Amino acid sequence: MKKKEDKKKTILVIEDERPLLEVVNSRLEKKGFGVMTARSVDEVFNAGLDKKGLGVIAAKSIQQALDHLKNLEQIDAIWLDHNLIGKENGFELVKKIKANGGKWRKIPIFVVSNTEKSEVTTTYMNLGVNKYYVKSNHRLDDIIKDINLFLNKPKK
Amino acid sequence: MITQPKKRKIILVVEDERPLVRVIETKLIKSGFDVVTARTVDQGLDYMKEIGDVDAVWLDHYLIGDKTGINFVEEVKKPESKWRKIPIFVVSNTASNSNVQTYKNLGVDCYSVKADHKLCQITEDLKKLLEHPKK
Repeated sequence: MKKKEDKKKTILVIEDERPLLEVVNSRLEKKGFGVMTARSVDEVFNAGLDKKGLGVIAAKSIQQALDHLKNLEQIDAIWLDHNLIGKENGFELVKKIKANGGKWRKIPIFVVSNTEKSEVTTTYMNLGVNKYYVKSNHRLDDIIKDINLFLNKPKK
Repeated sequence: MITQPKKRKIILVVEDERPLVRVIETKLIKSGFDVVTARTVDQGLDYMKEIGDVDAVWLDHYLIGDKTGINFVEEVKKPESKWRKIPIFVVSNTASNSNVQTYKNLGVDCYSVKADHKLCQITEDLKKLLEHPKK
């Protein structure tokens, strides 16, 4: 093994199909990444708290939300599916990440989607994502390798 | 249901028409399944391997690329395949007799014609098969 990195890189994986989410999670962990997962945009930004919708947030939930936000601060890259649970899709996520006062603007985003419509691809590229993978054209393994390479590329 | 299964059953849906995939996915999730979708034979096989514990397959005949559902079934039902016993539902509009026969010969559990079967009926059949597996 190489010299230990000073900090483990964390990837946020957003994918609505749970079996796929679990596989990507465990494959990335095996590669040595820290992984956070979500199945909807709401889950990313509100730790899913909106869903409870009772106007009451339990203390545990607040702590959960704060922990979640703290973790969010440390993300090094995002793996994003286009279709997600709920009304918001990957476009919304990218817009929010790129807006946020510019703080997260530089986090690399990799879209991994079943959609190969060119207008979808173009919109993502215009929003500033780093790469767009059509799921059926790449094996999961290859996408993971590619992202790994990208993130470990020595900065010039 | 009397006994709640520990884990949701995973259905791999191999189907290339996007709007249809979304409908199928929603229906299956509502029925308590976890779903993963693929649009080509190779993507489907990659997920079989990566996910490892797919419980059943919903398969269309015509898919993106040169391969059809028959190629998928041939691979899954190979004598040395560890996936041989996973039930496969072929759901297709292509009801040519020779295709249906090929699927049956390959050991497919069920062949439904989209036009004849309401999707919810197919979902029900799938549920039944998974709850009472054939020997």
